[in-house]
Amino acid sequence: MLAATFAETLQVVEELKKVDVSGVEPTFQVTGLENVMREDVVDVDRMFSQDEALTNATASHNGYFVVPQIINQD
Amino acid sequence: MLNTLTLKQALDKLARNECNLAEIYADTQKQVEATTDLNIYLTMNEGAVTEAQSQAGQPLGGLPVAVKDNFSTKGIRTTASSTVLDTFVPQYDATVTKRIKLAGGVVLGKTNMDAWAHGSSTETSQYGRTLNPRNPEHLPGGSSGGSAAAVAADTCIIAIGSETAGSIRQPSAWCGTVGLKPTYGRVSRYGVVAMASSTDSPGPIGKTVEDTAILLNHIAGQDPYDGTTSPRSVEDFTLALNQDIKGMKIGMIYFDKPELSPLKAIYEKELKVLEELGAHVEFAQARDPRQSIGVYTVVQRAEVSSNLGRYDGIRYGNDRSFFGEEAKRRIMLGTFTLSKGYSDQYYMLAQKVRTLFLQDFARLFEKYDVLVAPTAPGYAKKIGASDGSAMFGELEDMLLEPSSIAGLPGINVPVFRDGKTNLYLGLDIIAPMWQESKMIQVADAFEKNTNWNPWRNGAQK
Repeated sequence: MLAATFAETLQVVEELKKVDVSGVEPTFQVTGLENVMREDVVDVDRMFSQDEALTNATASHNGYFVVPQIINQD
Repeated sequence: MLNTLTLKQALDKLARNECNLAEIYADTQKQVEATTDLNIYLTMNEGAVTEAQSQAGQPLGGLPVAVKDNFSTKGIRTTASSTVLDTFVPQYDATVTKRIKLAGGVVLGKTNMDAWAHGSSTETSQYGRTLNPRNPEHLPGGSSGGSAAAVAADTCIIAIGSETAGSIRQPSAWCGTVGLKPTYGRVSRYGVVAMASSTDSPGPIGKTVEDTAILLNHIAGQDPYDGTTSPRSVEDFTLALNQDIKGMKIGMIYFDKPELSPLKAIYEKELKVLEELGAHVEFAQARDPRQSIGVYTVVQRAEVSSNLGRYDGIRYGNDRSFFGEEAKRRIMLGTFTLSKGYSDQYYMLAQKVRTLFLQDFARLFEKYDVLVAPTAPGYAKKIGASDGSAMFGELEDMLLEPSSIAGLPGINVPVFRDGKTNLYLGLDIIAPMWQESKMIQVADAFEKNTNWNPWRNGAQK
């Protein structure tokens, strides 16, 4: 099922290969902005307390996120 | 039935004490309950009425706003219509949500959408599809289908959606609402569940052009939390309302496509009013939009494969086994097009063709103030239409992808209603970057000089 739909999608994408792009530069973004910086100051509006940060965690322990074991798992 | 008021009408009535917020919320609540079969809202804000009272007198008057479920809302569940985020309750507001609240708007509830905004039907939602309020045998479009349906069904005063390539304008066309997609970088993406970061654009879906201009005023402008927002100052978009369009040059594009020939006569007839108002309207040749499907498909999948990498189910939400089929398909395709050996063949090539679309629009805007086109290739499709078609959305959004990948603003206004099916066609008005005012000016003139807007007195029912 997935394989068939990949083929369907890639077929549409293949159409691009018919386009002459010699000498054309790619466009990755349209705003023209570069290296946007902000002041290096603490923004209290964007700070979570440890308790807040953990409110959505599936599992936590002593204030840490608990990560499922993925190695040496028999 | 105060829930049928436009934003402007509601603000005026509140200012003149002709009604109060409690009455508006009571009528809105009744309508929400009467339309639960349409599956518009995923989560309601239980505190809406209380919040509204404290917002009375503010610019947005404490009025109820329906918000697409990919905008973070502090304390209100936010799922992006995916069960991966079934339990996610954000600890913070998206900038758009925050600005709506600061202006005195109230989040009424969170609207259904295609899961992760992947789609143009709401049929990829893991919470079931939304039905089109104009005709429930049909789809509302998407991905902001819930927000467009919320407006069309009068279950809110105005709504917020987001568009990556069509997701505000196409559901607005299918539901007979006004949908405004701003210039990329005009409205902050901070706190919006990311889809394709280089084209994601939040924007209003409302009952009239005026309503969308009012809401855009409150959400637009630079945000220090989103480095792609523009530092340029934001004009008052309502100044573009009620202006003469005499002498404006308008190019009609995409009408030469064979698939649009059944609609061509309808649009030609309806667009005559623009000429009667003194604008110069003519057919114009634009680059074949079909090529934009490939560009958008590659760019969108590539950015999705990167953006969805954060959903590991550790800090919030469920793990990756909860992803639906469409999300899996897009992540895999995106990873493939970015992989070594293929990135030049697909990703770089797509970004170069994207440049050709930018150049084509630059050429057209040397001659025209705005461009107009059908928003979608036809009326709202029947429920089930997207089943089994991996490219459903891309084909339905074909006419919106060129302007989306170029970052241009566009607005959908109802242009015709089929008397038999009660379904609408939409007109897309596209302006150069940062010139939303021009398209608002033309859209407002069109709306006020025709009777297709469903909320106008004397609307053609």
